[in-house]
Amino acid sequence: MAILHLTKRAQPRRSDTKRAYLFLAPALLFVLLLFVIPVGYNIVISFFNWSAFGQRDFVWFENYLSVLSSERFLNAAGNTAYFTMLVVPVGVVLSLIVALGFNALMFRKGTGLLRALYFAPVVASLTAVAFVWLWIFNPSYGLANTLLNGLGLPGEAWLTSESQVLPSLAIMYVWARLGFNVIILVAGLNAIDRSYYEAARLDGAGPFKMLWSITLPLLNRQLVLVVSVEIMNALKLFELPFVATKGGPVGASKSMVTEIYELAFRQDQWGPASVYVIALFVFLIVITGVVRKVFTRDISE
Amino acid sequence: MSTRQTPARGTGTTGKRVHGPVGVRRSRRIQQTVLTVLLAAGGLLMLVPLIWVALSSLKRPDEILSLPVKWMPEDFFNVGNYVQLFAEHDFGRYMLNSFIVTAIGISTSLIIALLAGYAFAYFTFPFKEPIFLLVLALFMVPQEALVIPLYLMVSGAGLTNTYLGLAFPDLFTVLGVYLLRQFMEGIPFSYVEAARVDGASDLRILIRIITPMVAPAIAVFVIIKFLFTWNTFLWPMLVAQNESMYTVTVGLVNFAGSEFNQWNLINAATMISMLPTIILFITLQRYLVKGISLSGMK
Repeated sequence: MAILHLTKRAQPRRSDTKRAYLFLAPALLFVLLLFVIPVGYNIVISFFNWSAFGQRDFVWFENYLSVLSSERFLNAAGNTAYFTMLVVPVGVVLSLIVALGFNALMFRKGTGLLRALYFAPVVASLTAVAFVWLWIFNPSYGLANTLLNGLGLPGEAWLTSESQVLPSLAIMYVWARLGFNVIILVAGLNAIDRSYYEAARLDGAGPFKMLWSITLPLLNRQLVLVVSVEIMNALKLFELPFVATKGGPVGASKSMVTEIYELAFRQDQWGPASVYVIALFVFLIVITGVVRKVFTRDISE
Repeated sequence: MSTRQTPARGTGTTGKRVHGPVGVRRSRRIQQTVLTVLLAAGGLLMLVPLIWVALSSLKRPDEILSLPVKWMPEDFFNVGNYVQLFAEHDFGRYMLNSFIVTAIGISTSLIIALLAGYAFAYFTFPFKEPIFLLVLALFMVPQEALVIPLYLMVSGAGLTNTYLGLAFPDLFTVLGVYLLRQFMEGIPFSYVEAARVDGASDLRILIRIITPMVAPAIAVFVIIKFLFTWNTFLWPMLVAQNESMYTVTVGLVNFAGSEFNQWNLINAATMISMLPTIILFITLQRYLVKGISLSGMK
């Protein structure tokens, strides 16, 4: 019976191909409109001296050379990289700790409510998150400095200090994203067969040994997902600096995407802006490639 | 410790409900209580920023800029800030625009995803695997980064300041295709087979038989899509050039820029922008959580 079922499914009907592509047509059209054409278009623009007022001069690699050697690009790329290196490890480790906590919790009653507390910030837009924290970090009326002063400590400059601005944005970001990752990791932890732990316990393995040799390898898929999504979202950082700091102070929180916006839509430099886009894609591809490599090696060990 | 655990050996395979001697049980109960307290404390800490904004949104202009900073508003029913935002500013309009754009995005992407999911689940055709892998790979493309060509395309088509233009990048979502295909593959093929034998067209099978059966997946998708579309900012900021077309995120940023330091109003506006997603979250939390965990399970 099962074999019959399989063969039937595998056997294509004559009209299938035409019909399938008919059903797929709208999706493929939008893949073309929203991904394929834009990527190609973006590459084309990157070779032009392109203005919104009609100028279209083919300039070969001039945009690439001028952008990649510019102070401005290095600043934006450096800020974005620094931000990513702050939020990804901190965000992933924190959400892993919380997820392990939920997983170790035995009474299931009320866990939903407890989990909701962690998830609540996820529903807020990053625009709203920026305002929430702009007010918390307000130097004179904000909660952050009020609490510090209450503890007898001096207030911090937070978003208004060149050295603190990116860590402050990282706090906002980790807060906003934590619940999302917790849910994915908890789902992954729930799927792990308990008998592995029983077997390991009989072998005398301690909790850290179990975490290292059972939980993390079996959570590999969710960890890769969480890490890659986090990297992607961190690299396209835009709303938080755009709203909360306008890229300041002195450009200390300008990101790749705020510069893309600034160059194209404010300064009419579409060619250089599209070079930033391509650089962003290259970063993304390289970094997620490395992540996948690292995590697959982990599991084979 | 090892000697105490020996009695548990017999029940080892039944899972975690191992009833050890009294000492173990008590220490486990203490452990669990500590864990719950820690998780609850962390959870409340996560909530503090939202509570702080909610409380601040109820303060009067003079109250919010007075020192020392107080937690509580003097009048918990002071909704004057909210009234002002709707009466003297255009927040009603912004909300309406956001709802329209979100509705367009949800319905279009859902229909496209249903059709594509059906094709992947119930048809055999050449290049099926590579096409599906291509669609999956688009998961990792940050669409926001493609604003330059997308904007040139949309403005070239004369779609700036239109709802269609505002919804354009949201008309299709890879997640929908993936989610619906997963659910449809779970439905026994015999349903489709039997209907085909009866002479039903595939479109009819999709509408009459499959769509009702994947209702939970549709619910999950609609909620996640609502959240993402409602919260977008960069794209609507570029495409909505007239204030009458602002979505709520754009309206919020624009308003805060013009009402500098009116923090009572800015906090209330932030609350307004979050209200629909918070309500959605409170009422449909189960589906949302399910959707996110599903997207993490491949």
